[in-house]
Amino acid sequence: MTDFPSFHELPGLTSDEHQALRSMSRACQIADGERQAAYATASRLSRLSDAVEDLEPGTDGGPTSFRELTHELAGQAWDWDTAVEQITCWYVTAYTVLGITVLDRIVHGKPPLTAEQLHRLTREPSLGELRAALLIPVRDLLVRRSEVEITRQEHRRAELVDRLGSVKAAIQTWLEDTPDHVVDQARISVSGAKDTDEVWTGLLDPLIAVAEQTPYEISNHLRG
Amino acid sequence: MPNFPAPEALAGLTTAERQALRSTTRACRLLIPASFESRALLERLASQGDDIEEDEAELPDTLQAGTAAMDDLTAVARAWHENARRLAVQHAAALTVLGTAILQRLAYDEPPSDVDRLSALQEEPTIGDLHRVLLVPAADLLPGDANIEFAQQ
Repeated sequence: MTDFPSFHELPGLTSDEHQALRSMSRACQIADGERQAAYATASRLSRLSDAVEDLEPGTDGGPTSFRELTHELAGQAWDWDTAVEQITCWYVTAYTVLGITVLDRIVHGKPPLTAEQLHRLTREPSLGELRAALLIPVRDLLVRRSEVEITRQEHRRAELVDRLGSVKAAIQTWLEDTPDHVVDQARISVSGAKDTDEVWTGLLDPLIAVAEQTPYEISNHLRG
Repeated sequence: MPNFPAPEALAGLTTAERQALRSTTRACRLLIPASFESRALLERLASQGDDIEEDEAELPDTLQAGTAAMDDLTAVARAWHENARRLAVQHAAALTVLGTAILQRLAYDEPPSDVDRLSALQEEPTIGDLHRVLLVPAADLLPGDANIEFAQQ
């Protein structure tokens, strides 16, 4: 992991813009690290739980069998893992939209973002806002990148937009007869609420890849 | 942690007693490390959080995303730790009462507990039961070389 570009390396940004990007970058890295720790613990306990599945009934004795106990503990670890994923989801989706918005405003010579806009951009975006940011043509946002790199980034975004389409379909299935524009206002992390399957599965890693790339594209542009 | 004693080393116990001890010990060996591990996780988050908070102290509240993320992550890690600790406490308390009961009956040369009683002893004890067990004079239970003699009977 390279250091986040310093304020000096991002000379066209306001101090607030730089700080917003930097603290969101850090929040994402921390959440992602904890996500890996939680996953490691929960999957280790699940492996143990699977391994003792074959214990002969009766060798175990006692009111609570070891099998049930490993299962219960693994379940609690998975609850923790889901909660960490949900937190990661808040920060990563916000950072993705924030980064692309700042890059877009630099590239297109728009005025700096106000403190209020930045504040809003550090909150989890709606499904529609996330998709809109990913649909900004990346070709227009990149400078001094090879055709191969541009194509790679286009594919990455197209794949994410495609996955967001599946997320939208899943949300539409829960909320029958909900108009399209209302579903677009949903937040992906809400799917982590009890008794629903998480729709963010498979989205977090590619989003992190897009989000973490953005500051370097901003830096590349500003030094261009 | 030493291995659980081999059956020969516990020859004075009934099979049911040995299995009850073994089963509760195994539960504790799963749960106590999980409780410690999640405790260490919380300590790491606390120390990391202090550094980040210090670093972001100058920023407007709305831009302190690192600090906010640490608070969010700490809350869910704490819930995990409390679950693991609760299970660990239940089983560690049960092992204390069960183990002492067996030691006590050996020390006082009483008849072995039956299966139902052993099963009850593996449940989380009340505070009163735990308290009572901890008040049994340790000198009675740890008669030096004599306990080897008991085990050999």
